Amino acid sequence: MLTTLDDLLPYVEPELPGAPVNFIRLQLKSAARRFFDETEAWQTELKDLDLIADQASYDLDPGILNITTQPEVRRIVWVTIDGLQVPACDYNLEPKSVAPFFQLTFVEGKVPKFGNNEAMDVRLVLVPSALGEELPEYELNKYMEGIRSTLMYAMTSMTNTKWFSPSQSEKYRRLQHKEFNSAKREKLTNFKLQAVRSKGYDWI
Amino acid sequence: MTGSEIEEKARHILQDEAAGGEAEVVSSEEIFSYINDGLAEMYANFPAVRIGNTGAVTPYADADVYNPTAVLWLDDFFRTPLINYVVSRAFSADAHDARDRDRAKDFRDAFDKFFVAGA
Repeated sequence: MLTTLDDLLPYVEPELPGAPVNFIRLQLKSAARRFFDETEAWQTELKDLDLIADQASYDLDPGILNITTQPEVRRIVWVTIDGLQVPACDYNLEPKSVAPFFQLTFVEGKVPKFGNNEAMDVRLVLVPSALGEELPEYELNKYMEGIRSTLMYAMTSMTNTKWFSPSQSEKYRRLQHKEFNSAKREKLTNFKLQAVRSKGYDWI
Repeated sequence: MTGSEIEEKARHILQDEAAGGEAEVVSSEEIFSYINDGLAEMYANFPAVRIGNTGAVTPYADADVYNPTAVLWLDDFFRTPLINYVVSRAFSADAHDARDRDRAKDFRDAFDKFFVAGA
């Protein structure tokens, strides 16, 4: 199983003659961030968070990877309290200056007045950190082709470089589109083959 | 990769192995000035070379002829084009010799081809 983005290097280097490996590594990180940002395919649930009376802010700690390479929380998908969904207008995702770097904040007037242990569940969309290389093994292996095609499209489109190739760029543009669509469709419908109307880059 | 390693390879191609001796054609100071010109050209025109192992941008630094065994900031991946650049400059110093001019052009083309397809 692939464990880090570096494990993808043998799958891309042969098609990028003359590209320095450090540069490919940077592009891999960028490709992974772009793939997961567009598809929202990396999601996690924080379960059984303690709800504290009159407390507005709650840390969102994905609890995976080490602190310096912690993934970014890109979006809160839903919040439930005692199984009931909280309206999206009642809370915001806000950054913090110390780790964990994101928090859920209830807006004024919607701060829960009661406390309850293990009452709150939160579902998050995650994006890999710009600093780190690690991804959870499951997502890295499942979406390997999507990350690879995103990287290859970006690299083969770079004009005035030795690895520029218009034909490869077009091939990987189509593959990237297919992989984005497939990941997004599966996330939205829970089915791999379910048809979703798609027109260009309108994912829904 | 150190400056002295580049100098040694370049002297081998130039068939000028008598560094510091009476038969020396190209001095070490000249070779190191060509190395620095090559480093500067790569740093300016091919930004991908600036990226180090940690993903951070490596600051530019000249090679020092008085400290030839100091490790250069340039990744070993770019050893060959740097040697080609130095040899091209050494050959082009003798502009009156047509064979040297041709050799200078060949090594300059090899340097360019490393970075740009179709050069």
